[in-house]
Amino acid sequence: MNTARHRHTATGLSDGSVLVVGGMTASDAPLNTCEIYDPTTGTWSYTGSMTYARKYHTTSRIADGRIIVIGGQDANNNPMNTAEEYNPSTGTWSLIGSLTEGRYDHGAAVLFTGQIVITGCYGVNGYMNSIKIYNPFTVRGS
Amino acid sequence: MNYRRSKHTSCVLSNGNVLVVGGLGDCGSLNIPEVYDASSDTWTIGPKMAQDRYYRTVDYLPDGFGTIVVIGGTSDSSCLESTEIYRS
Repeated sequence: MNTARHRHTATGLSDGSVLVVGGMTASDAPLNTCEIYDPTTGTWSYTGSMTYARKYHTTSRIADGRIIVIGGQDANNNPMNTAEEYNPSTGTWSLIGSLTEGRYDHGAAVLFTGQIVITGCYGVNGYMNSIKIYNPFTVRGS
Repeated sequence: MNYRRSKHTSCVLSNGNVLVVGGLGDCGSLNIPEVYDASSDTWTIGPKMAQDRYYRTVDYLPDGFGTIVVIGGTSDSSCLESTEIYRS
């Protein structure tokens, strides 16, 4: 990779490459940079950066190939409620609908319906067991 | 979910339910998975893992049986080199 990072995510794209998103530096500063690994050439290259730097977030690939990043922790270690979508055909990120509350260290899984189930997290009130059903298709159309 | 947790992992099983594995909660690291059925909005406690763990990776094995493999992670006392599988 071009940037040393941890607490990032790595998600497979539809074309077989891997998108690495955000994370934090050795000094715990969150990153908004993203990189793509091409396994056919063994090379890394930067792609578009997120609007917000984040660590301890989740990324999910939905059926149409977009990558949805949800929540995370910001530079002040506050839980984030923002979400962004990555368009692999343009290599750019766009902000999409936010969660009602900030979450980091949550789980995310894509249902067969295309919705994303967000489970638990650490939030402003500590550990949480609540879930959210996030619909990236609805968000995109609104 | 029944247990408050963070630093867990979730994935969709071959039947469409969501498996939530491990994590860190009010009493430390967790070995109790839970399964979420979105069609009925209900949670079921799954079989305990042999080892409580958080910050682990979870992935499918391409064996045609929907087997989930849970690798490594951290427990309350140490980093883990053990691996477990889950069959739904």
